[in-house]
Amino acid sequence: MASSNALVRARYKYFPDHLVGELLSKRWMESAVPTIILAAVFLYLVNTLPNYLSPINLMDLGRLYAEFGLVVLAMALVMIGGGVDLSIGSMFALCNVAMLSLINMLEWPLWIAIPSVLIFGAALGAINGYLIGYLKLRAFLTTLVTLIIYRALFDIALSNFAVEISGGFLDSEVWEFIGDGDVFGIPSSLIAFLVVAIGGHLVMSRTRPGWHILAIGGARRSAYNAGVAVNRTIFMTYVVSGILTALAAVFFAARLGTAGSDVGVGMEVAILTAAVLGGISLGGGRGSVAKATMGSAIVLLITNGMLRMGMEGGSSSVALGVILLIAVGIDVKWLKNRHKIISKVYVSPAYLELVPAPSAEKNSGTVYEVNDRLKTVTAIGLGNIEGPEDVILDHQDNLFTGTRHGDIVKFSGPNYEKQEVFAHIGGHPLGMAFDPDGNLLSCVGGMGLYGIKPSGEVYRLTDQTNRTWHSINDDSRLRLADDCDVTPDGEVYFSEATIRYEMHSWSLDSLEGRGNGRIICYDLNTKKTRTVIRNLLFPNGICTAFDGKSILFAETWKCAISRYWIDGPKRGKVEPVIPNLPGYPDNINRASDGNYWLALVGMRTPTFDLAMKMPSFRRRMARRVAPDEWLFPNINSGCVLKFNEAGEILDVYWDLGGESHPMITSMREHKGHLYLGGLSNNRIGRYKLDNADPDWVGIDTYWGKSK
Amino acid sequence: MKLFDFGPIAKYLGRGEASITVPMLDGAFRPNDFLEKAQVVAEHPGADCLAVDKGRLFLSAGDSVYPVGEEASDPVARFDDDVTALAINGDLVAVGLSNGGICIRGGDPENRVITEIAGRSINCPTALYFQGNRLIVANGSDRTQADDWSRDLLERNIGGDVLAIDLKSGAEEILASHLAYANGLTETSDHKIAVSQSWNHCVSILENQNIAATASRNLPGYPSRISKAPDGGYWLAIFGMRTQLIEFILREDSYRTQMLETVPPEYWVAPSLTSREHFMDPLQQGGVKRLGIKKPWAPPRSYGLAVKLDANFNPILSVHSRAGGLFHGVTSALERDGILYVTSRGAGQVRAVDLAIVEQETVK
Repeated sequence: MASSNALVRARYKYFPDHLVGELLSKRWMESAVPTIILAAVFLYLVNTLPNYLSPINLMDLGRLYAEFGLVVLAMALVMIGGGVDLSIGSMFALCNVAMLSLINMLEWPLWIAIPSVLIFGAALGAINGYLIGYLKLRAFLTTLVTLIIYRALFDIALSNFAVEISGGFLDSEVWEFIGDGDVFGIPSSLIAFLVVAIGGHLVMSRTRPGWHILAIGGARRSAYNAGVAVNRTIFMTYVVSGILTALAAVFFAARLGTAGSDVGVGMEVAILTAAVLGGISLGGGRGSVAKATMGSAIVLLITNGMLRMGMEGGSSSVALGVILLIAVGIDVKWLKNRHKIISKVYVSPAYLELVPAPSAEKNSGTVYEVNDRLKTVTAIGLGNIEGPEDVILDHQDNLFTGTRHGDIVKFSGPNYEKQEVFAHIGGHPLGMAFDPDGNLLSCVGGMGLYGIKPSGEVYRLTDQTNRTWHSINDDSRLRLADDCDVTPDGEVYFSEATIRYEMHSWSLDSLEGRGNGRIICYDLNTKKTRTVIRNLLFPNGICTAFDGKSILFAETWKCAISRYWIDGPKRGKVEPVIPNLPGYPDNINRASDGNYWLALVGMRTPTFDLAMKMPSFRRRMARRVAPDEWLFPNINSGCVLKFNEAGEILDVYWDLGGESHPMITSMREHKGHLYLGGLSNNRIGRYKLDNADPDWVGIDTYWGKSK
Repeated sequence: MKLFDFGPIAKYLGRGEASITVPMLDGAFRPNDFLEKAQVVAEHPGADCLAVDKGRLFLSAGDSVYPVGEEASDPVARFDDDVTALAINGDLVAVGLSNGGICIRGGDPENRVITEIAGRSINCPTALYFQGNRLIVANGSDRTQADDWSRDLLERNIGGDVLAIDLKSGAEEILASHLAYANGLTETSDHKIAVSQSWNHCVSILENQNIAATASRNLPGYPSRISKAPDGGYWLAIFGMRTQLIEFILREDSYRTQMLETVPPEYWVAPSLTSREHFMDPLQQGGVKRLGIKKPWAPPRSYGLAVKLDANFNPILSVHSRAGGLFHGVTSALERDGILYVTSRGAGQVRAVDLAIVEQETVK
């Protein structure tokens, strides 16, 4: 048993399960697969074919790639808009014939002939665009028909003018440069392709027409409702597709100068394969220029490579067909199941063996033993407040608390019957503290660290920290700032409970048992934010020690309290204070007698402790069982403790049965009373403490007596 | 697809035998709060099994049998052990005992104890039924005792028997064996014995020492005792609800065995008869109290439910006490004069539900 436990522990310590889900939820992961394929194919060809890396071969490849890439871009544009253009191959052939006819037969000068061919291509595309965009014909059928018609026109043209076309010969340096020229070893056509690709990328990603195309492909009706000119935009995608195809045909004509009858035959399959393989979805709305260039590179390398290896012409078509089928299958399935897969693999439990803790059961004789001392607690704001995670009081006995609606609510003392919204921040304000100037600081779940001036004006302190270079999830943004406290030097130490989950899904973190949280420091003077401690198990409560030389912090899932030295000889060190609590610690605050209050939000249960040692069990549970049915830490009953600097428990206050305060997340002592908050409760509790200083105000221990 | 319904692939994919689907509470099982609102007619800690004789209603609770609905509430009989099953036939009072065996009073001899029928030891008597001179006995499990039923569930035992003994002739017979916790007995209109199988979530009809038919399949909870209703139907007590988590844990051998070995039984992930909560109880996420309330739709660790079955054992209506309620762990339900008497083992109460109101308020 022990050895198998050690194995499990090592397995979960060294294999980063959580990265799988984080990687999969990244959009750029979709391009990673084609990139890897591309690299693999390229390396294979380099190793198999002789002189593959020679300049001549690369130059040839570059020219082929430029022409093919242009037509794939044409297809990609149409596909992103939610359509498909099967007639590209025929258009390509027709434009090729047109170009050769213009220069060889009619002997037009290039500066007229090339624009004319581009306009001709645009016109061919416009026919498709008009039928599909304005007349709302199905893209697939329409372009299938135009494929046949354009091909027929090509055949007619070729049979009538074949001799004239191939008979003439344009002797022009420019023409030769277009076909065979290069600039510093880069083929002219490749330069043109790169210019088009970069321009296309900018248009698609940075301009309104590009966004419109993506929007139409993603959800045509929504795009229409949002005011996008759907018909015109679709029409334009086909026109541009025609122009790009014509451009490719110009380069083709310049390079070969002949019009064979098989030009462009079967081209649409290769183009489709390239587009889908690159990651441009057949369903529309997803794709980019980068994906198109990637896909075309893969397909070109494969077809060209097979040809060079001496395989028969048919075999490369078979290969392309098979690749297309697989790519389409993956595309469809991935799109449909992406979210399901991510939600299944994102939660990745780790091994966590908790230190055995003293029992809190009745007659156990321990310091934690249950009692019903909180029975006499009275309620403030009962039913009028939702989710007061933390409470804090000022010198005028005003009580402040955050709610799940994003408000800071103020109850006016001393009877706390008057309730008003002091400020609205948003998110869910959690832990609170006062700074030296009397501003109220609050950690806001989902937003960051915010301040509220005494006038009620809200200002942001920080919502980001330094990014870790090796983290996949962006850990610079603050997801779940939880509790904060201020040091005498004006540094705000605050905890971020987890960097893998948001405020609304924090409970998922309990299943993981991994150090996903951190403690961050914001300096009020320099206004700089830096991460201080990483990999903590749901760091929660934070309290500056009375001497101001260290901070105490609670790690909820670890059931432990630790001390972080910020001054003195042990500066920068973390040492345990209470390593083995019988429950889950939440906020820590100062007590009037020089000790500390600690809220236990819930109690450890033997079944959950056992589950924490079985990560694969929890992973299966996360996948199979509905979230509401998951085994969970028991946060339906908790208590308040008092402990001293040495970590000894001095006193315990239970609300046995959890009638009024099933889940205590915070408590604050003020003038002889203890005020209780609960993250999911509908009240604030007020409990009269025996033998407590009736004049003690918490802020005084930080910033001295006020006036 | 059936290919992947068994073995490790099914386990990995969570389908077939590894699927953990639980029936929805809908149709005849649509939730209501009739049990929660019903009037308390008797309170005895451990109230368990109801029996009726000559118009008088009796209740077993702890080691005693009490009359219900009468002015005197002193026990009419007391036994050496806790009573786990009760049947009354005229002068004969038969009870199951928690340490095993059956005790019959009022016959000859006056205090007859039976510990074995047809070679099967009666270690877990859960229900008794008089069929003329014959006493039918449901023995829940051959491994555990009646109080240890949650272990029997988690060990996935299938060792229940239905046994019969003729109290006059002494003839003994095994009516059925290998039942997944036989937990309730009744007789159909054509004099066959019907038995509820808790861990199989069904009621089985026995014939020729075998299961002839299974009715009320795939119940949403664990059925307990059955009683005849005046209209030819039956009342079935459901003492706990199936939840996805328990179904899941029943398929997680390693976790389950470690839990059985290392965790005290009261804190197991298993149904509970009582709604009282302890801070070391397992909690499911939906059970977290929100704004001071445990929501009625939270996954129930304990629940109160009695179901009316028609003459063919098809569920037709039900009375509930939902999550967050008090009247949980229903082990017995008995109808008399238009009133349904229901026991809650957890609350130690008997409550009376006016069926006229239930009929009226239940949307057909």
